[in-house]
Amino acid sequence: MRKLRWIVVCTALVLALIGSAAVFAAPVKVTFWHAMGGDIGRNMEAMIDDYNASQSEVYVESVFRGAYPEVLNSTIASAMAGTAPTVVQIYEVGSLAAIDSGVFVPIDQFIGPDEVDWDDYVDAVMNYYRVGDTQWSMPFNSSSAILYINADMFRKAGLDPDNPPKTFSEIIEASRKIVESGVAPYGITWPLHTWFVEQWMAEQGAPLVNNDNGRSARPTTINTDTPEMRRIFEWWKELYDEGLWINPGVEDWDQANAYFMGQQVAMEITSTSDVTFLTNAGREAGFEVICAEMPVPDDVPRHGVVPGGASIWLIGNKPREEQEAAVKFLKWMSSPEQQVRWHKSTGYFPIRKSAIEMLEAEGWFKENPNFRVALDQVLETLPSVGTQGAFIGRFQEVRNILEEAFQMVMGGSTVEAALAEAKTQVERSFADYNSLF
Amino acid sequence: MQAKFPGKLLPYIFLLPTIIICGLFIYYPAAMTFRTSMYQSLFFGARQRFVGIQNFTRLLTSPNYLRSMGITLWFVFLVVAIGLSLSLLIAVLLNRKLHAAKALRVALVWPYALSPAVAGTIWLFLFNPHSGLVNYLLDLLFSNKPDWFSHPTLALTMLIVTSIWNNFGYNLVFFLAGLQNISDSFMEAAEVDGASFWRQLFHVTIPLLSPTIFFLLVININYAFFDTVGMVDVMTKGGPANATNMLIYQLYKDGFQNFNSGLAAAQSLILFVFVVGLTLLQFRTTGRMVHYGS
Repeated sequence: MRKLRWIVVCTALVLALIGSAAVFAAPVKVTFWHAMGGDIGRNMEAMIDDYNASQSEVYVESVFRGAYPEVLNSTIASAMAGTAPTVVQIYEVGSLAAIDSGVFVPIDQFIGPDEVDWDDYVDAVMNYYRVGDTQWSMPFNSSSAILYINADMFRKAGLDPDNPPKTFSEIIEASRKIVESGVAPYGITWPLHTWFVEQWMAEQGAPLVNNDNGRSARPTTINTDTPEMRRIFEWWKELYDEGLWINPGVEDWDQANAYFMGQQVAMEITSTSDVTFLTNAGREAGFEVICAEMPVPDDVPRHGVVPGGASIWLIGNKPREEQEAAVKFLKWMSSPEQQVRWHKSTGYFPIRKSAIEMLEAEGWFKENPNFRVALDQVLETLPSVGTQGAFIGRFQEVRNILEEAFQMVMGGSTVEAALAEAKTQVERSFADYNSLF
Repeated sequence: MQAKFPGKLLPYIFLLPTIIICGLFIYYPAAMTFRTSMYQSLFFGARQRFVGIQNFTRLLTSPNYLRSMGITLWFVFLVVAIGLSLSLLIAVLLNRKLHAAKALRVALVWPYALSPAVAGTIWLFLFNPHSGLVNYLLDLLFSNKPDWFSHPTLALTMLIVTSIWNNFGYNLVFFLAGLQNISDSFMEAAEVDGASFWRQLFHVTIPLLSPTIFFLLVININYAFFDTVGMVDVMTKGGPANATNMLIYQLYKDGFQNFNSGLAAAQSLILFVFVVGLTLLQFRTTGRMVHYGS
């Protein structure tokens, strides 16, 4: 009798425990793949940890999957295999590939008409990721290219860092002065990367490819035989031939930073996402870092820049509950408070107008003028097909081809020949890609 | 001596695990590669279009691809020839009773443990035109600081040096083992006959080592063709202007950066035919020169 009573009591307890566990809803798990490594990566992980700790509805498991191309690649592969994550950070130039792959679903399918104040988002950034009326992805980290100046070196060479070079010829003159005065072995550097070429095309108001920069239809050719493109390459070639620009390597962001921090150059053009890192590195090495807008060709009015960086995309074919939880996470990541925090710790500019207002109110930009530069470049951008950014499926291939073109120029080819070769190769790539649609 | 099995079924049952694994991981993917190579494809097959042998004709008539082939062959030849000669020489020197032999052996062999990408990263820093050790020494000795990354020949040289260094330990281990199998009586006889160091090397050591040399030839060719892709990606990304664009690296770019699995599969097949052909040729020619059994 006693034994029976014990059994009944124990069974009742166990059932009660199970029952109560069912009452407490377990958080929905969301997997997030991203491309943020190093210092920036640590900042992102910290933000996500705080998100997980701050609420119990959504648990975000984040994984660093390597550089942007690898993340896009592994996402599509895993979607084919059925093991895709919930949300992924895809770089801006992977947007058409992401749409064409059929693996993603637009986020506005999960966001009600009044749930998000789209007007509060910075227009240039939203327009990049919008096709027609569809908002495909949630912007998160947006950047543009800015000019970093070693102010101490400038002063030693007799230049004024508060009056930075603004045009191509001013960069050449400043670099010559730097090298001749012996202050540094080279004047300037930037990674050998087509992103900068894309920015300079946009600054001149020129679309990179045809069909409205790939926005009205998939592009069939690239605008390499234009005066805008030639200006960029000729100036770059001049800097290289005169020994004013040092080659850090193809797409090598770290080596370019290393040259600037190691004071082998007085100027560097790179992403604003390194503003915190480089300013601090300069302080530790004993020099002041001043940021300025990207230089543009002479006698050409500034049209503005294309927002760089990445946005967060939602994978299709997932349980609705998981996707809704992911959207909650995305809304939090793009909320003004989180954008302020992300901006301060990295240098990516905030994509919310209210975040910008918050930063202005607390005097952040007065104390940290370097952080303002990229933001101003984007806010002053004139909306046009050129500054909206190109939509290309095999963007990485186009980038490789243009990078090869400049390497041919470094090897002695003329700019015309190199660009003509690039055009042929790109057109063939476009023809192949388009034949599949 | 043949094994006798109690039943006709048993041998097949023993072979079954190997057949399944080989089938799943080698034969099936190979068959799929063959199939994929006949399609223009996007996003790992999300979109595809049958094109027959168009991928192959495109590749074999493309000047860029043929140039890539030339560069790869030249690279493989140098890595194998210099790598094997150097490691043979060092193995012969190291085979003597030296005080520091053990420590030297470890020092020379351990770079093999590094993956090619890591080896590439190390030499990337050593070859840095501005702050690398190589240019520092060259500057001291010859007052010249070449830009290893911007010049086609220098970039290829950089890769060759790194590849040889990376695989050196493997070759050394096999050569040392082979040398220790040569009985001392051969070397003593040669010395008594008055043979110089080089005579001994070419007329005694190398013929006796021929099985090892032949084996290492095949392995090194495989290494130079396929395993160096990580190194190329880290150091030069195929540049400058495709001067170091190895066949395997172009394959990687087409498959994983340009989402063109069909073209990558076609390149994979061409490479396969190439390497198999080369190996068969080797068996026919140098294979005949091998002396087995001492």
